[in-house]
Amino acid sequence: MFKAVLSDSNILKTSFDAISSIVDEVQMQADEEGLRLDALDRSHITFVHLELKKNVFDEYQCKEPLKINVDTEELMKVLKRAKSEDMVELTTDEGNLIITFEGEARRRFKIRLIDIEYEAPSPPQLDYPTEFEIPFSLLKDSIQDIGIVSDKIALQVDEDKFKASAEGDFGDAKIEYLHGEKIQENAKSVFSLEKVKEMMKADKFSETAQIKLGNDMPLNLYLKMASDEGELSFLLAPRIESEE
Amino acid sequence: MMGKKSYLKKLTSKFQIPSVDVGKELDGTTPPSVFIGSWNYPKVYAGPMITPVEGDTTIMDTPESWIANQKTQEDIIRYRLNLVRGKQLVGVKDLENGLVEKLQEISLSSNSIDSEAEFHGKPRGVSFSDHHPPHGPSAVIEKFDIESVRWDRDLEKVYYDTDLLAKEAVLNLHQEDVPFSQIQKAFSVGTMGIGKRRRLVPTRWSITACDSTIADHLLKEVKYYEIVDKWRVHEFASLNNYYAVILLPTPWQYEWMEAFLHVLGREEIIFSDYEYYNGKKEYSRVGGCYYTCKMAILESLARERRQAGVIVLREAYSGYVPLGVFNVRENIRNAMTQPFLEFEDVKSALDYVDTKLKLSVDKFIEQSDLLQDILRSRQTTLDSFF
Repeated sequence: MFKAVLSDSNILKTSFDAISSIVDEVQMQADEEGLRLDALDRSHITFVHLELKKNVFDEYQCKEPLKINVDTEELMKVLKRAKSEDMVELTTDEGNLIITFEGEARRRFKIRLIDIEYEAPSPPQLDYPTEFEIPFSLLKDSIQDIGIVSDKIALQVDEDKFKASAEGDFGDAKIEYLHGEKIQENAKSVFSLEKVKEMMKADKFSETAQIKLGNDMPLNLYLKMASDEGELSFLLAPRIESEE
Repeated sequence: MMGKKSYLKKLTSKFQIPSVDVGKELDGTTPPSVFIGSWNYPKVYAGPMITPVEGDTTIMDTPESWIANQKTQEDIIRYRLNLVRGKQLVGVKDLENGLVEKLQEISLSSNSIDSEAEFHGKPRGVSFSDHHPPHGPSAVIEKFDIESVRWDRDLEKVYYDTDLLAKEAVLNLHQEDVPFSQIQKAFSVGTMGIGKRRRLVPTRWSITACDSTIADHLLKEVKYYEIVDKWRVHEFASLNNYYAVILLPTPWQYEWMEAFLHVLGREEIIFSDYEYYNGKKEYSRVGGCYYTCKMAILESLARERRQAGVIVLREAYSGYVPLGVFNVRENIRNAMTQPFLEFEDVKSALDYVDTKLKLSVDKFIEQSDLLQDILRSRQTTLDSFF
């Protein structure tokens, strides 16, 4: 028996907005602790991790561990239909994930579970020289600013500032932000803007983004719900300059 | 720099080739062929194309068989300028119109059809375009009679299925190996799609609509396949063109680059466009050939069940005449079915292509977005950080 009720449908909507643009099939794992998901995109460039502990939910029951395999595009189609004031309930039956929206009316959708061989990937454990927080909206805006001039974005951090920059054929852009944190080292990596944009779709998950950055290392972006009971994190492989 | 549109306009206005001379009345065949203009949309000039030539004239409107049968540029132009375009102003939703019904009839056939036409005046002019193959003189058509027509079974099936989305119809027909030109013709005269949503689609739009519908579908499939393990070069040359298709051992990404060399005069001019893994939203700045080429390459990748990044370099030389995007489609299809060469890295692949190009490959690199990207930096995967 699995049942999870959330009064805020936006959490699922915003998470899967990002997740569905990264992976097309996914396995959610439910147990008595809560719901989690680990996924790696087909090209092994982005890793995404979602964890919603049982206290995130207004009601949560899961007697036995359960694997829920779904097509993320189908799931997103349904979640898009949620109104922000709707309660959302997740349950399963033989072969379906059942999503019910409770609002003015009671709306129920069934999404067929898919048959996939899935081994939940585990991300590489990396030690980063820097770690800092910036407002998520600032990060998202910076990405859009950069989009005007280039398809790649350089993210860097030094003692004082976090910088996002790009050089394009027709112009350059640079965004600087005083982070006010204790950072001893400089770090810089370059990423594909298209890939970073996918992660930016989760803009309703958290107001702050925790970032870990190194030199030519993956970007670690960590979003935490205010309640501390939910997290959404991403790991994005960098682009590296050719040696020649 | 001159845009591609204005360059091609200049190029196509250069051709003053005489076309077939016919009077107000024409007795002959339609290959079958139809033409729907885009001017004045949604009230457009639609009509059949008819040739005074008797017998089997299918080849005149079957671009798939031109390169395969080693037709020369002159052969193709001769075929096309033998086609007289009849036209009438019709609303795109007006499928009950008597002329439109006949256009649907002929578009569902795969054989040429005896036809008789009466024009308002003597057909005049000639039309060259980068998009559709050229055709001969045109005139307002007043009367159009055809012999009885036997329909192609696959086309007939989608015609009667008024619950089938136009997109699904195109994909089904492509799956059944119906030639692209037939699918596109039938699509343009409103014989596909949900009953009440059917309409005429201008020829140039219908070509890109069919190309991109098929390409999008194939790309979804191809993204599931394993990535090719080496750099590859596929190539083909015909009709004063050279095409090199470079396959990259990366996830899907695609760049189209075309150089026009001394076609007008002394010019050496490159146009290009590209997309990353997730594709592009806006219409390509180089026009329909972008989608045509993408479709033809994806056809081949899907058949091979492999994924790759793709860079296409095309050169058009002096003597080149714009014959429509079929030129790109069939040249690329031919390139993809030829034996290919394999390389260990990007440099040796480009060095090889450089020996085949008239323009230096550096000029292409200079103009490129994706290729430059690949040379300057590479996308790593998370696997390399474990």
